[in-house]
Amino acid sequence: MTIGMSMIRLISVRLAVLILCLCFQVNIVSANIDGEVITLQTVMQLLAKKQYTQVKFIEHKSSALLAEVIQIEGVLNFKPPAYLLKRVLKPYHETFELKQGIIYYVKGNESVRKLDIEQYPVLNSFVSAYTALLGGQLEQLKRDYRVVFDGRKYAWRIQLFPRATTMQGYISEIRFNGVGDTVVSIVLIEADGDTTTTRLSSEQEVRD
Amino acid sequence: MKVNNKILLLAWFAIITASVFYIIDNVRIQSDMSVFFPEDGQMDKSFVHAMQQSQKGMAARLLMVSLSGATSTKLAESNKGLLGYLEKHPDVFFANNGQQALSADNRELLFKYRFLLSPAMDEQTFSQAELKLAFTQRLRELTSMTSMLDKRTISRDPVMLVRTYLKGLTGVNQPRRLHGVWFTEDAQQSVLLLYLKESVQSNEKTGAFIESLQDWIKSRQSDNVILTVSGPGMFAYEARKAIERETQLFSVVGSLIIMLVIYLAYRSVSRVFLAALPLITGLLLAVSVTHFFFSGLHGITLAFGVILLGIGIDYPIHFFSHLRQKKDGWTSVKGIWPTILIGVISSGLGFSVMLLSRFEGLQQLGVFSVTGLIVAAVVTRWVLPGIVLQNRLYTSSTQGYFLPYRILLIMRLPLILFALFIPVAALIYGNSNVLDRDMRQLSPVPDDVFVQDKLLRQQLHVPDATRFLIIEADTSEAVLRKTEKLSRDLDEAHRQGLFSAYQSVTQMLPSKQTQLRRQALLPVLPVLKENIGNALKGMPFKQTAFNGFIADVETSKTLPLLTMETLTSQMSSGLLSLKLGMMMQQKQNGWVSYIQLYGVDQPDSLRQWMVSKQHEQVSLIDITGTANNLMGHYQRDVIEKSLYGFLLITVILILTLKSFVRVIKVLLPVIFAIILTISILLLGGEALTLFHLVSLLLVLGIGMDYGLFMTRDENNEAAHDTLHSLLVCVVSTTMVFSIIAFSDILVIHAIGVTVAIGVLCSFILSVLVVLPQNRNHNKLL
Repeated sequence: MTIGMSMIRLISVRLAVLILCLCFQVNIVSANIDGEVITLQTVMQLLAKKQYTQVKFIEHKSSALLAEVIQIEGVLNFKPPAYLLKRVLKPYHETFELKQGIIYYVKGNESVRKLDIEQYPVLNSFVSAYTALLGGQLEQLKRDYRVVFDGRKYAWRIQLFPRATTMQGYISEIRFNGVGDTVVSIVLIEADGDTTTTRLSSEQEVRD
Repeated sequence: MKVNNKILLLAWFAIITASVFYIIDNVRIQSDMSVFFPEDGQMDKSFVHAMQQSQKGMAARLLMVSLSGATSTKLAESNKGLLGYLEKHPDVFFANNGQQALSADNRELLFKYRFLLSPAMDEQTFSQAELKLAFTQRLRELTSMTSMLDKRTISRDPVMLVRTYLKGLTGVNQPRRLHGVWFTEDAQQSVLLLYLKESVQSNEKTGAFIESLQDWIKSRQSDNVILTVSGPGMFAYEARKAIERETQLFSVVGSLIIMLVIYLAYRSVSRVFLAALPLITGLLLAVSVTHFFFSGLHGITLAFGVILLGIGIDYPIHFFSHLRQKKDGWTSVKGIWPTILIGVISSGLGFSVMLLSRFEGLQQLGVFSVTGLIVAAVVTRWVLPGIVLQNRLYTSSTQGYFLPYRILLIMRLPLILFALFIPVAALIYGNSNVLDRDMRQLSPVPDDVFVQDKLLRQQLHVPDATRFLIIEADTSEAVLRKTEKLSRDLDEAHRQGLFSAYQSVTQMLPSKQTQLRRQALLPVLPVLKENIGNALKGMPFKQTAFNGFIADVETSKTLPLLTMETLTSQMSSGLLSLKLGMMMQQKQNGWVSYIQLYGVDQPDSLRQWMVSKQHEQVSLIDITGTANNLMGHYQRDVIEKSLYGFLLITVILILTLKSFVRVIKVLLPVIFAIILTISILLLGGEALTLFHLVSLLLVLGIGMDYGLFMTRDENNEAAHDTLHSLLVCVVSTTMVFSIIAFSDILVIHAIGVTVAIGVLCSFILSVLVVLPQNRNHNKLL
């Protein structure tokens, strides 16, 4: 009898869990039906509305060459359509500024190095992933990358896989995670497995 | 027609036919400038070699293509499409639009040999301190936005030897790149460059190739893109096109004018055509005879020769004007023949002085002009009278013909005063740079083509191959060592600002001596491992991170040294092998390497610096400077020979005319006309080129004829005919050459303006000075 009661209790608990699970699934399905899940187009439209973005970042780099993960910190500025400034403040100073197709690169106290981004197709394609995404330019993004989108309520994930074979030799994937119109983190997975995770925070932005 | 007339005509016809066949079978117009160089031994061998290189070497096979007239995206698309087309084109040796970097094979090869090739290799490369610095920099690069560019080589080349090596190869800036292809700085033109195969190096084939490019762009109608080609091959093509276009236009217009003037003067269609016979016969025989003696005829000789033969059109005009109804052609021609003969002998001998020139080109011109002149006169004397209608056909009022003479004589004093004033004005206000020695003056290529070429060369950083150093030695190793030694000095000269950059073969391939020295610098394994271990202390790198580097150092110790032969044999075709082939070559008697100099603003300082360094078997080649000097020699030679010719003419006139006073009367107006012409040209801002000078020879010949005819002692009837013929001559010549003066081609313009002004001045001055002295002529007016 005791055994029989125990069995019934166990079955009841499992049933309850199953029902809860089913209910949760139904909830998710109904949410999809209700249109509460964000779409790629919506995300891009939201991002396109931003006039200016300035965020702090903390970046973690893991590499096959490194015994430990390296952390760098700094600020990231973006102004559509293609102005990008990445300023490393810790543990060293470095500025990478893209302005009208020219990269202004400063290491520490060294003088500015000017690079025409068109001279470096791989870098150009890589940087354009950032500028196109932050600027909400889906077509431009799709030109160089295969875009995979996943969205849950306001949270979303955009994965970019390079189309060009040359680029595939350098980059496996660039993953942008965000909520609404805010990019929260960027994960860069290089072809050799090296990974860079950039977390963005304290966003200040100007909207329409 | 008498029997002997028929024989003469048959002989003339036979000669013309033979000449035509000879020309068709044998005569090819030369464009090789070497016939315009002094004979062997008088010219620096390196310069001749360099000229041959620039005319027949890789540099001559370069074409630069620009696409414009659309958005940058459209232009880039067309550029990529064009590259695809060019890569499949059988005439193209190599094409690049900036899309292709170093091929993977070549990159791998250079990477393998980096320890031997890179100039960054020195005693400190493997020291603990250097390695520590290198590792720190690489660590920072790993976390940089640009890390992926060089990341792959970090573990095997942390000291970045390949990066330094490649930077040296592309030490000169690369063109701007947009949408993956080269663009001009203003992004208005997308550009690419190509080298044609050696087999395509003829005007016709290059022309056909350029036209195929134009066809290709037209086939992409939707693009609306304008394609422009530049480069040495294009110059030759443009030159030919320009010459064809302008000569066709001006020969048609000129012929029509002469025909119209002759028709108006004689009211006879047949005479219009007969007038051309002496000139055409003269031209055909001049071409044949010159080719026969020199086994070639240069295009420039032909151009100059045709100018000088302009005198030949006057002979039939004199003859037609002196034709009388009561006399047959033979009698009429006999009347003027002595005067024509004196003119032919004087001008012919005057022109023949060019045979004494050091330049074959001018010798050819001497033979050409003398032959043409004699033949034109002979045809006028012995062929025309046999076929011309004997009646006097022109019936217009003679008063009309005399009018210009009367006007000139009425205005005699003011005109003479004005003529005297012009040279004074020229001295004060005229162009102070009297002689233009720029070699460009020999080129009929329009200025805008040169401007486009200069722009594209600047944008693509292609040197114009006019200033470089040539290093010669018996073996490839010796030439490389010498180049290295010179390069060390050049670095110093570069720091002094004597030029902006240079490229030498040793930046790609060091001598075996240098490679051996670098190989000796590679540390033994325990030392290297220890240095790396110590340098890595306190750094986040794994201890094994640079094992690839260690392995490569070990392998490099036993790598066979690279030579020109082994490097080129291992290298796949592309920009690098092309560059290597252009910078170092094997010759019959050894090896030669070229160091290309960029941005030489003060060639004289560079020359002085070179002399101070006293490098043996090294020559600084300045094609522009030397060519301009050569042009100066030419001008001096033409002036010198012209003066000798003039003296000879004076002697002949004294001997034939037997009157010193008449010689003065004949020569004075034409001498002053030449002074006036030069003055007017200088006042107009022109500097005298070789073409102006040769044209002045024609002015001398024609002007002398005017003097000879105006000083003839003849009866009223003949005097009347003379005044008529002279007027027809001057009107036709001045009109034709005035039209020619409007040519866009510098050369043709120079000829036109000089002859038109010179002939008109000669005529006016002869009328003002000589005519009043001649009782018979004066009486008519």
